[in-house]
Amino acid sequence: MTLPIALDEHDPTPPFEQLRRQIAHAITTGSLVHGSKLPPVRQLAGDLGVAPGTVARAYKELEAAGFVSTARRAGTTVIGRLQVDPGSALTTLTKTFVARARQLGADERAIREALDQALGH
Amino acid sequence: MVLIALVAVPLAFVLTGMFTQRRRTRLLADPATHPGLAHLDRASILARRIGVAAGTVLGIAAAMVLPLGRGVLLAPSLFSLVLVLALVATEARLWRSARTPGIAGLETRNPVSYLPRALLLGLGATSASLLALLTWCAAHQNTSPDGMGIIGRAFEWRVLQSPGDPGVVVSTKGPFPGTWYSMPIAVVLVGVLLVLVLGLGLVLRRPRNGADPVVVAIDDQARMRNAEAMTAAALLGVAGSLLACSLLAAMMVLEPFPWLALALVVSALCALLACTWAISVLLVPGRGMPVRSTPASGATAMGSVL
Repeated sequence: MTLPIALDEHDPTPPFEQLRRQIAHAITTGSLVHGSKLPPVRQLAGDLGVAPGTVARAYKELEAAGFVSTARRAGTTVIGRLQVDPGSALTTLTKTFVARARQLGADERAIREALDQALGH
Repeated sequence: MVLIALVAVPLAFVLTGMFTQRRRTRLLADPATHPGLAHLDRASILARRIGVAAGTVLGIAAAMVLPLGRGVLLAPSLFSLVLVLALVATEARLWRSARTPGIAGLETRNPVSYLPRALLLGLGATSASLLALLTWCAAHQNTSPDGMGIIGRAFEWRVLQSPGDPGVVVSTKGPFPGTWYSMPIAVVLVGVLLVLVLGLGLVLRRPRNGADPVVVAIDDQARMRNAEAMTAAALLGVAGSLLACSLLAAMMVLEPFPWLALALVVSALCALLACTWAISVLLVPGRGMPVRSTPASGATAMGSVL
C-alpha cells in the first residue's frame, strides 16, 4: 500500500515543511518502518509538482533529525522509528490549527470557541 | 518468391491471431474520478491510429515518388518514424496533465519494470541483423557506376573464367540493397531509435497522480502499454526494412550463392515474424475493462480486478 502525501497550497506552512511533517509522522506512527526506501527526489518532486529543491530540503531536514539516511547509491532510507515527545507533537499540531484558523479570518475568541466545541464543552 | 508468399502470408495471419489472443486486458480509468488518466488512455490509443494512418500515407507516397524502388525499401522505416513520433508527441503533450499538483505517493518506482523486455530484445536482434546485412551488402555492391551512373544498387561478384584460366569475370545484378538504398534507411532508423529513447524516457519519468491503488494500477499499465507501443513501432520499422532488404538481396544472390540466398530467406521469415508481432501489439492494445475507485474500498476494488 502506497502512503499518500498531500500538500495544501492554502496552508501557510512551506511545502518542504508540510512534506517533512507528513513523512516524519509516517515514521513515528510506524507507517514507514526501518529500511523503507523513500522515492528519489526528482520522482517525488515531479509527482507533487514542486521544485526538486523542496523535496531535497525536506529529506535533508529528516536526515538531520535522524529519521532517514541518504547514501549516493542506495538513495534515502528510513533508519528507525523515533519516539517523539507527545507534548511536542501536540504543540506542533495546535500551532498548525491556530495558523489555519487565523488564515480563515478567525480571531482568538472564535478559535477558543471552536476548540471548546470540538472538546465537547 | 511465390512459394514464400504462399507460406508467409498465411503464417503471418496465424501468428497475428496467436499474438492477439495473448493481449492483456486493459484497465480503463473512470473519466469522472480520474479525468487525466482517462484522457491519457484515449489520447494514446488515438495517437496509434493517427500514427498508423499517417505512416501508411507517407510510406505509400514515398514508394510512389522515390525512384528505382528506393521509396519501397524506405517505406517501413518512414512508417515507423511517423508512428513513433505520434506516440511520443502524445506522451509529451499529456506529460503534466495526467498529474494533480500537490498529491503523490511515497513509493519507489523501478523504471526498468515498465520496459517491454521481449520486444526490446526483438528490436535489438533485428537491428543487429539489419546492420549485418546492410554492411555485407555494402561490401559486395558494384564499385563502378551502373548503367544509370549510380554506385551501390547492384550486386557484384567475381567468378573464374574457366578452371585453368587465371582471369576472372565480374558480374553484376540489381537492384541490390547497397549503400544507394541502405543509407537513407539507416538515417531514418537511427532517427526512429533516437525518438524511441526519448519517448521511453518520457514514459518512465511521467509523474503519477497520487497513491490511490486504482490510479497506481491503471497508471502502471498505461506506462507499460505506451512503452510497448513505441517499441513495437520501432520494431516494425526495423523488421520491415530487414524483410524487404533480405528478400531483395536473396533474389540477387540466388544464382551465384544459393545457400546464402536460403539464409536470407530465413532472415526474411524471422523479420516477418517480428513484423506480425509488432503489428498485433500496435493494433490490439488490449480489451478495455473499466475500473472505478471508491473512496472507502479502493484497494478492495482493485483486488477483485488484478
